[in-house]
Amino acid sequence: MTRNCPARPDFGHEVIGGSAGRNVDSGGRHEGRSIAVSRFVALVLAGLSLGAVYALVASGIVLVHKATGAVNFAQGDLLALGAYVYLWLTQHSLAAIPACLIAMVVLFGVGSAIERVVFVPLRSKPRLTVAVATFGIALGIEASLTIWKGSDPKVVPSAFGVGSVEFLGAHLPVLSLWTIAITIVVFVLLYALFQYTQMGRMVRALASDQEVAVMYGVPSSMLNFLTFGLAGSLAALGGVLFAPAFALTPTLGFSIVLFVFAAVTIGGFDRLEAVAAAAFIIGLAQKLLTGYVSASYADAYPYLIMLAILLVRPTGLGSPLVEERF
Amino acid sequence: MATAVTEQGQPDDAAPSAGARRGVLPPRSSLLTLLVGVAVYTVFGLYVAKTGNGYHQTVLALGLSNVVLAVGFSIVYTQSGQFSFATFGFYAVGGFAYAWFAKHVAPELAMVLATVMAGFVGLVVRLATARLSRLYFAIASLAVGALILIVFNNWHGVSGGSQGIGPVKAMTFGLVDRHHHAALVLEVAWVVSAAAVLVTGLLYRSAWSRDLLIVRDMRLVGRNDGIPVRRREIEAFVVGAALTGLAGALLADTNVFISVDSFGVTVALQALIMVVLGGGGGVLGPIIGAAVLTELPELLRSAAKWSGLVYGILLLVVFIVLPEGVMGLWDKAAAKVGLTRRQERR
Repeated sequence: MTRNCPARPDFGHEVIGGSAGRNVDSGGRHEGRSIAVSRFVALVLAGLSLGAVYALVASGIVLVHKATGAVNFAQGDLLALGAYVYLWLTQHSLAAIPACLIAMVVLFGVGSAIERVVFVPLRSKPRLTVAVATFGIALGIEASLTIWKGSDPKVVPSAFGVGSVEFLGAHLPVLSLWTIAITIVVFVLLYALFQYTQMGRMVRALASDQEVAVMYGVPSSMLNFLTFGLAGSLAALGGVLFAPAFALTPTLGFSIVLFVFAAVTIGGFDRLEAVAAAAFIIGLAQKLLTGYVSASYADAYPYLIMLAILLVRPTGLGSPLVEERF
Repeated sequence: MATAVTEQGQPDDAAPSAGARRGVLPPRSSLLTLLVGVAVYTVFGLYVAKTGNGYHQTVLALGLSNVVLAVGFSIVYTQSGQFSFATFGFYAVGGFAYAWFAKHVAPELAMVLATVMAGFVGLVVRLATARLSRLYFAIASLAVGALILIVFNNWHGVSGGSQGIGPVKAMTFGLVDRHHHAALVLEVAWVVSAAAVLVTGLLYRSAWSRDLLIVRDMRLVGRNDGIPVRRREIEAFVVGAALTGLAGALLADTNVFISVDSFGVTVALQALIMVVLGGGGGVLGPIIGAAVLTELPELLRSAAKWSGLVYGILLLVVFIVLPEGVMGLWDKAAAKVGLTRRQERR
């Protein structure tokens, strides 16, 4: 802080001292510090929960990329679709948790349908063509949502509690805490799935060498179907967690997917842990920079971080598993 | 050159337009065809500009902006195999640069400056991202496009913020500003787009453009043969960005008022559909695609909210069913009746 204010680590003491009223100036400064602390804590939590949602969406992209080699630009719009399905179910007087589960099942169907209808015919095409095609799906989903529900912002009820917990003077929304917790659980489960189950091993085999894996009997068609579906479910979960904190609009998905791609690009397309870390860092950086530097460029920060990293390391921070096919 | 390459065998699988064209260098279309085509295009346009009502003329002028956009995107995507989302960013650079320069210098010069400006931004972007693979570049270009829009959103002096900017001065080329403003705009746009088509058509006939095919399909072979692969990629990208900027200038010229909302990521999707629908390998495909995509919203006017869905589905259908576009269909039909436009394959 200022020069004549001794740096002391125990904030609690200072706050009490300040309120006990030594002089007005010092009291005001101490109160300022406690507000600064609670603001910092609130921003960190907001950043972490934003990062958690990015991580959930990113995990779907990584999953699909591992199994199929495809890059799915529609993942963010699947999130928006999941949130809309959830909203529709709760509007039809369904309890929140079952609605969330049903939305995940529905989105499993949508994800796997995308695989059958779009990915399968394009499977032999280069990766860029598939990526561009999923861009078409993304805008198609966005347009369908506009037709279905209109483009007005919708308020979505929270599935995991309302209200907030007070911590260090900051009001932390329960939903954000749940978001972080659920994301951590999902990532632990995904890690276990990849590391300890036969299916995970087969997906990893596909990721490292598709042709050899298929030769050894890995059912690549079935796994593609499942991973696309699972990615859809993860997107739906992300939507249910994310939409209540914001106003839900059809463009929500595409605006998120840009940040998610920043995380995926930084982490490398095949490494779940690195991507999750990158997602958390981007969410955190976005919130902190917005809070402390400038809000009008809030959306620019993830891109700047991503471009800066790509300029230094063209393949992202994760090690590239596959040699670049020109 | 053509035979030397086909004898190299199958190229690797990363070409954006796989299929019959892959690895086969198309013969040059004759210069006469190109010149006659552009002449017919211009005469037809000037005739249309004389007739028709103001609304129709404005739609046509937007269509011409789309033609320039598609022709530029086609060089980047179909010819050199790079996909750039940043198209919508360069489109905005062209539009706003034109609007700003037109306030200070003659609008005709402003158009040139807007084109140069977009090309320059394209050069900076592509130089900075030269080391990225194609997929990473596509993603990075999305960030670049979004960043350009964010900058314009906050740069009120140039973009006018959310209200937009206007009225933008129109190009007249010394012609008298008749009471039919739309007709004049259409005439100018037609001549400008004809010039862009002619230049691009000449580029397509050049060795440079055939180098791009090698860069797209057979990078290693190209590098081995002494083609500066990355340099060609950057050059193609700059040409594409400049044409996109020109398209943006035409848009600003036609629309009179422009705002940041005119330049969404859908612009990239539309450019992509035009190019994929039309088919690559020349200027005719993008023109056909641009014509279709300009007419489509007019047909869908009663159901405007469906247009986004139609775009998405159209893109997927073309990708899956018609990967070579309308021109590919034409080639196949011509081959059936024995009118082969292309050389025998292998």
